Amino acid sequence: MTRQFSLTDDAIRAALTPAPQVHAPFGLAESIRATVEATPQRRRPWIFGAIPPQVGSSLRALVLVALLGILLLIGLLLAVGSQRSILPAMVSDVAMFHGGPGRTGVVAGPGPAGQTTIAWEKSLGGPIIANMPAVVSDVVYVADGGGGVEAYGATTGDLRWEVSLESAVNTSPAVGGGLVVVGDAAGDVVALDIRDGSHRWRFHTGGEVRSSAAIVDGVVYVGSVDGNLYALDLATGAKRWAFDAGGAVTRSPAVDGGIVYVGAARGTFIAVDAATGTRRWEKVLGPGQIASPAVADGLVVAASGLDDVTAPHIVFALDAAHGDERWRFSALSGQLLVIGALGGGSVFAPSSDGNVYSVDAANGELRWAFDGHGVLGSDDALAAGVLYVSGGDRAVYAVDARTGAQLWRLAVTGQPGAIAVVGDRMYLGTDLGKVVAIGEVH
Amino acid sequence: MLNVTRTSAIGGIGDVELVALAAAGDAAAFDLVLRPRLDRLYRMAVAITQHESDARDATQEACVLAWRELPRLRDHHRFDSWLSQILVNSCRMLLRSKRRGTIREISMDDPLRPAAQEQPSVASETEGFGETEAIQAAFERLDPAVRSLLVLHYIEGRPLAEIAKVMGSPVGTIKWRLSNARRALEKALKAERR
Repeated sequence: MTRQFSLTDDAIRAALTPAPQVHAPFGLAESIRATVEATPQRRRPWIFGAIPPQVGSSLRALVLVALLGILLLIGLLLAVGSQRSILPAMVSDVAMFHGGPGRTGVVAGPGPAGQTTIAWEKSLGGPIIANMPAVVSDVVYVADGGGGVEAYGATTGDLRWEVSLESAVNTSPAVGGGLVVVGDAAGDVVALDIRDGSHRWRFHTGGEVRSSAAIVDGVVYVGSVDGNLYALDLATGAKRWAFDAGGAVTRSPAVDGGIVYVGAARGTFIAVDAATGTRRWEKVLGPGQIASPAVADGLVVAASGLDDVTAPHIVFALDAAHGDERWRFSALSGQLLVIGALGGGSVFAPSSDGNVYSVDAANGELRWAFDGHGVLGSDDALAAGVLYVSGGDRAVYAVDARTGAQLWRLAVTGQPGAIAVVGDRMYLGTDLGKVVAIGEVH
Repeated sequence: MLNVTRTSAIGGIGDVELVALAAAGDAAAFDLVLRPRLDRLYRMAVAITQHESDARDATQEACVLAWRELPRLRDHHRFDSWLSQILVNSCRMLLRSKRRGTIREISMDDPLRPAAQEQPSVASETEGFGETEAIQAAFERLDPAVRSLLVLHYIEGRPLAEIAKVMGSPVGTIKWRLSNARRALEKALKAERR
């Protein structure tokens, strides 16, 4: 027998309202009371509690601002006195794949010192394949292959908000201007409000978005499998320009000095004017795709031969302004290379042969190779002279960036993706759908 | 003994005094604040989770969390919307921890998808499956945030301004999200019948 019905407000109420006989179960109040009596309350910090509640809100705010100002001043004086700049430790409101739009993987860190441990671990609705969490103002933003975008408190991992997009998100979230920007498998670039995950805008491209967005000066730069590199207004999602790259853009663009660098199909590496979307220069680096590049100090590095097993796998160092080749590097194994990090005078290139190669950024000479125990991706982070490597054996390694010596190893649940290092913590996602915070043992 | 005038109105003077005492660390006052609200909280949790033991867990967790965080609540008149917010979050966390690897959820934050643009009226066949059960099953397919919004609006009958406080979003955003939530339910209902 079939029957027709419409979804009316009354039908929703009738279906979802608990039956009248549903009441709080016997003993629940007592159970809560017992737990409450054994649970200490969290008091407001003394700075808030010290002000009597009868003080008016404007006066209260004034007193707080004054106290905070004094504390800030003391902090600055202490920092100056100890000859240590506190600026790198200050919280940025921008975070994205590989530490910034230049994709160098270099972050302030300094990362955990001494013995490390898993500070917290949370389960996600899908795997994280190489994506990097974005950390801003003590909140960790992650996106997973199940279409979830989540925000966790950086200290304890408490869930702040979560949003389910309908398609897999295999890009790193980019945070800027109060928004979290991700791309999804349905071809959308989606901006969510950093405070509660509410939808702010959506831009539809003609193909899957696997490219992690870069945010610079209020503009989102992102590639699509539809063959375009897009520049979108960060506030509204409106298209500023689209550049036809001649083939699918599957990796993440790097931006520096008003130029967007992006690899496209058939080994084409392109420099595009960030303001106008016009081509500055173009270079063909060989068959296959180009790995996500990194750019700093007038040097752009890119690796060729991705997605093509027959292609030669080479790291190219090019002049950022004109594209002239400075040097090239390939592993003795001949296997795939990607760009892990660029900093401290070195290019760090993880390989599918299991090694991370440190190459002199000035001339392309090999400095050292570190055994990362498996196939490696462009997941490294460089902070305070330490290279953090996502190992191929479900572990994270800390390596002395100068010598290649292993400092420590920590096993995690699943194959780790790209590493974010903020303060003395590290954050990463894994292919088993975990987001993990690593900290020091206290 | 507490010398408090109890009022049935939410946010009444007696309640505010009790909340203040509880915030100062008085567990007995917190118990007095909580008891008249417990049924409402539990029923709301049942509506969101559609499962009585989950609702019990979520309610207990929310109440204990409320006790722990109460000293940080500056405006005691906001206690009820604040408590609802905590309960909604507890339900969402609980559902989220249980949903892994089960069913594909349907989000409301996707108004541009083709299915969301289909006819809003759901009128199709059901066979051997009642209307109520179909809606309940469809509801269970929804994202926890969408469920919470629908419960606050349709079951709790909360005004938009109050829902906005509970969900921490502007009223305009809540209107938009409610509209999408309704569409998400319709979409889930269609999926349920396939």
